[in-house]
Amino acid sequence: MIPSVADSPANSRSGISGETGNFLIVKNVSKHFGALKAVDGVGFEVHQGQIFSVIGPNGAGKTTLFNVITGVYPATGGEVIFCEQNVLGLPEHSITELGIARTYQLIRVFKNMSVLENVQVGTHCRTKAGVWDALLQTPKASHEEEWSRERALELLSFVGIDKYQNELARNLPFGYQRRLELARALATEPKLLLVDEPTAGMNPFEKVEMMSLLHTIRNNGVTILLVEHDMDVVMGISDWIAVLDHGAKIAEGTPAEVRHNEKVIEAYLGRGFRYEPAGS
Amino acid sequence: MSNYKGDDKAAIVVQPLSLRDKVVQSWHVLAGKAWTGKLSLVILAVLLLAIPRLITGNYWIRVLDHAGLYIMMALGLNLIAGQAGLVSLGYIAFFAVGSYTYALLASPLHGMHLPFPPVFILAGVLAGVFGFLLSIPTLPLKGDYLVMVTLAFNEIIRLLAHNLKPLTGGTRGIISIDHPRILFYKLTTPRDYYYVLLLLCAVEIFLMRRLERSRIGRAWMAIREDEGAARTMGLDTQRLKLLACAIGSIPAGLAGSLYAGMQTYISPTDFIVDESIVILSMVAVGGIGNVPGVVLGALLLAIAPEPIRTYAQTYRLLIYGAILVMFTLFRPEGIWPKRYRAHEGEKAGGPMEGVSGQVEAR
Repeated sequence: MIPSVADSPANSRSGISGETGNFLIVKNVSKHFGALKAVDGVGFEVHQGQIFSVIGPNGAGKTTLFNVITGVYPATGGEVIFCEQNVLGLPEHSITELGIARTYQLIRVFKNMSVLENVQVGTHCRTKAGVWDALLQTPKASHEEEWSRERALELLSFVGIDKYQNELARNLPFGYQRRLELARALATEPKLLLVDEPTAGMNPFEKVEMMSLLHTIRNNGVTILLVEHDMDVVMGISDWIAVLDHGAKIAEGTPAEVRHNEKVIEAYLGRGFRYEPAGS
Repeated sequence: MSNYKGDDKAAIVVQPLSLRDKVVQSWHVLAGKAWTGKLSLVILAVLLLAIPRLITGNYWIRVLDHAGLYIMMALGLNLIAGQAGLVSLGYIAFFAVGSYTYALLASPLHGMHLPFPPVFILAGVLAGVFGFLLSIPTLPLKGDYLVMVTLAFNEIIRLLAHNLKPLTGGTRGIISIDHPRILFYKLTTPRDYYYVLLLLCAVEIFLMRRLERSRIGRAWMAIREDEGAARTMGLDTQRLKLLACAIGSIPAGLAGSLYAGMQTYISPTDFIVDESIVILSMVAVGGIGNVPGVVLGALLLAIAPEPIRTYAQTYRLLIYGAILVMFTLFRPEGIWPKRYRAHEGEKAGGPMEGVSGQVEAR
């Protein structure tokens, strides 16, 4: 279970708004790098509580789309409405404060910091102690520090790596670094979690574990926007799938619908193939 | 295959403990006890307080005074370069700001003789303001580019001191600066300065460690490690970087004002780029990002060249350069890097023991 966030000292989280609809609306978003249209007029709507997957072949623009939503790149055009607020153009840290967190396809943990410290960095935007609090070690600072530490530990045990809390992040095995990234992202108390290819480079068993972890996170009330390559993984876990190819959305629907969509099969496998789920 | 968890654990090689590991371990057990820490601190304090009584003559006390100034600065630079990862080659500029602040306000040059304590504070504040302002244009810069720009800042400040003749006395510098007076006591002898510096260094170490372990300190480290990821984790990196530069520059200003009072004479040549290089070497050699390591580095590089001073003066930078190259090649984490100790519950020989971490210098 993801520990509750109600006791956050910053208490900056307003009640979860807009039950369904209006949670995340991506409207006609484009990102062009010169003549290259990495993302071109993509639109979809994510409902709260969904696992929404964005799939597509290499270079389809999935990660670019993530970078636009989280404010890493300014968009060429379009709107991203999150909880009735357009987040395009906001600085990255403000977007995180609003409740959007992410993990990376290529792991980007803070290598030379301890596992615990990594997750505690995630609590930064939910705490407030400043320089003076640190220098004078005010009750506010110690209280927050204790809270942040406990919360980080809870999240570490949630992802199953709490026994490595004092280890340097770089010393963790690959699969654990992925989990650490998840814990760190959850520490920012997101309503929406963007997960970029969480199973890349994993063996089938690790993939299954990662998927069940994502499932648990969703069941605890965090909506998940997933970019994934592995069709079996996506089909098994997603509530809704959007398919990108060459920067444009070519299909959208339930896993079953997408699976039999001609355009999708063509984009992935070329003309004349039919998708057969593994093991069937 | 079915035992997935077991497989994963096996991926971490369990290494048998060598004699060296055992020694290190027992050291950690001893160091982990509260009383050993307190006792060694008391012994260290007594020793440091007694040093001026144990050494005859002023020469070595003066060397220690300079070492104290270097420690103050190295700790400040460590916050900027070690903690936040903003490598600066212009740090001595803030020392210059502090020095000139006191020199201008307490010397015959402008006929002003303000008391030391308020000017000391002012020097720190001004250095902090300069650190803040100078870091604004460098915000988007990283690595080599940041080094180049900070190097240029160093030169700008020095040349200003050089060329603003009516204000700063130009090349000839400022002479007959007042000896600082604290309440009714006038600091004159090297021993006086030794005790003042000892106090200042102790306070600074104490505060730096608090900062290091705080929420803000953690955020700085995250910026050093991966600025992009830090932003995505909700850190306002621009603000945090400005903050690091401002706070990190304050000790240089404080040290500078004391230096001006101690030497009673300053000139632009005190603030050449070489000094910035020396301070950065101290941080790098001692253990970038680790407060005790940086103190050790500063002591070492301030004291070690003394016995061979006659040769060292000529070849000083050559020697520093060689030391820096050797450390980068053979011990990039410095003499005394920050160590993360395995958790109490995690007994020796646990799965991760063999790879227990050291901070890699960048």
